[in-house]
Amino acid sequence: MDYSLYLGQLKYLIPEAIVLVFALAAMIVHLFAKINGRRAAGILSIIGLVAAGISLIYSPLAAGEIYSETLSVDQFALYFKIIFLISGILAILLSFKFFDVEKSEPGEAYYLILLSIVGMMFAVSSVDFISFYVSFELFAILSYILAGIFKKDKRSAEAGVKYFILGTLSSALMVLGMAILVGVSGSTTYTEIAAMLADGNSKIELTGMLLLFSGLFFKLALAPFHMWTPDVYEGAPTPLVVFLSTAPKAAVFAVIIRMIYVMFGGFEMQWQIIFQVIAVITMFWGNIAALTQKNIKRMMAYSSIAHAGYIMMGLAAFGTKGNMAMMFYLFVYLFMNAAAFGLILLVQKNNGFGEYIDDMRGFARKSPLMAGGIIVLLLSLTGIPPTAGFMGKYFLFTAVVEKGMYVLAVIGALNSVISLFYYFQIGRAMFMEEAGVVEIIKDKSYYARSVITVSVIVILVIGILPGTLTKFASLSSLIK
Amino acid sequence: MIQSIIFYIFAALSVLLAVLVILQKNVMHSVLYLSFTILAISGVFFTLHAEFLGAVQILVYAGGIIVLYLFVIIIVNLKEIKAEKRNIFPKFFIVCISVLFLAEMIYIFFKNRISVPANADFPEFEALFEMLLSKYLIPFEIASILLLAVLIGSIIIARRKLLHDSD
Repeated sequence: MDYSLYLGQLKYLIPEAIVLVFALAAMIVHLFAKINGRRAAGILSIIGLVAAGISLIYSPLAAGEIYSETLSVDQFALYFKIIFLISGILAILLSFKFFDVEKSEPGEAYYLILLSIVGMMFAVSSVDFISFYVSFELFAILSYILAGIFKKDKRSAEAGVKYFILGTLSSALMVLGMAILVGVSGSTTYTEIAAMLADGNSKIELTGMLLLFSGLFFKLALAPFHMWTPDVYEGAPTPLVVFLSTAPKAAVFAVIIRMIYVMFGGFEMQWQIIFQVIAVITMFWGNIAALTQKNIKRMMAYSSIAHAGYIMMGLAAFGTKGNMAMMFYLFVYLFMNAAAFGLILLVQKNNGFGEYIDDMRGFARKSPLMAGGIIVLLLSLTGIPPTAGFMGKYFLFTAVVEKGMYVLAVIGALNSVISLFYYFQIGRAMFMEEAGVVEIIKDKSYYARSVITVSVIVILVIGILPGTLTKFASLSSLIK
Repeated sequence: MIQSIIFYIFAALSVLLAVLVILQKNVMHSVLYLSFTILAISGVFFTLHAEFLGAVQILVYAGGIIVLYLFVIIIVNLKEIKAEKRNIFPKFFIVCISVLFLAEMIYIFFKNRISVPANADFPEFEALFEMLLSKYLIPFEIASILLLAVLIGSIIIARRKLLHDSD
């Protein structure tokens, strides 16, 4: 192997390096800043994410696998890196508002978000079990810390501990699965494992894959592994839930897509039915449990379980069409989630945030424009045209139908109808009930408002003109 | 022959000690058994000619992690674990799942013997370190970021005073 290429290959890792450098810079700024000057670390973090985004456009894509076949910097990875960067920016902007109102600013959150983005960026381009696992743990461990970072609130500490204990257990299962696969094939590289899987005894490999997928599905909160989600999402600080519910999920879906494409492509027969069953259970469980929730954060947690179920349909479709639909949906879901959690940051109740549906009463009277935007958001979450959520579901359903899984498509559509009931509880509270109950937080900052506005505009634009994103997603979904 | 006998002794010992770890009521005893388990596992590694792993097992786990556990127990002042009261059905369910999983693993490993590929010899010390800084350079670097992140995270979790509070 020629290691003299290593220095030259650094040029493919410029975006990662930029995020890392800005994370370290923000850390030092945060260390030396006065109590009221911690915001500088957050602003520096946003600058870093934007700079990394710009460098993503200009940095070259590697034709093959680089660094001795441990990384593959291709268009597929690029697509997901964009998702992580946007998710980080939205989460930090919402954090500004959240910490302002709570009058307590754990500024570590800013650079920890950046470090976890570095982990995700490496995870999506990994084509080797070792580099995958190390970068996976980087963002996994950081997400436990981020969930528990707001120590002023006891629920946040509880969320962090719960997430940590269950998360490490699932990581252990995943490592066992990877160890079995590596033990059978004698290599850690995806392509070499794929070559060995082609002519092996399949039972032991299926066990390894099962354990590996269990660990990954835990992170995605798919149905048998979803128990932690409502508690963690309710307890963790709202802006960080925006990050935790979008970026790590996108990263794990990306990892699974790459693994299936490179390694497990030949196991379609064995896994398709299991993926279908998981998708169905997840959709029903998430949507039905969300129906009875009164707390919007908890409801959105169940809704995120349901959405992971929808995206899982794309995985069950096993193919480029399904992958493209998943990638499209993950991009759209990012903005939907940011706006939905941003709504909570707008409403005040007892010096805190109004997290319950009843707290939204009369919202439309107080702020009709925002209420209109939220209605667009709710339409998109349900999957009604002309919003991006509709386009996302349309691609998922067509990918499934093309593979002949009509029942799955019908169940998906049925679940969209169920979700209409609980999403529009929010809408009803905002428009129908009497005014005067709701108290909109008045401060000079427009962070939450601007995040919601931008998200709603993106949802509408993608919904009406989906062409560009569709083209970009389908171009990126071709791995190599 | 003698080697495989030693291997099986160590293997059986490590399983037995691991079971003893979870059966103890006193946390200190648990940790003691855990350190014995780790020594037994390193014995397994030594009999398999993975000297490096065996040494790391003793150095890192017995030397580092166990001491860390002891510190945590002393700081938190844990004396005895009270058994959680569970209904019979969840208990039954947990035991069933564990037994099923064990049975599945045993069945699979005995049914299809893993044939270790010829090229999967355990590398020598030098080769191992060379690989760490050549083939696995990127994971090695990411691991250093991981350690930094974990360091910051543990400080955030562990500190008593909220440094970010204005009051």
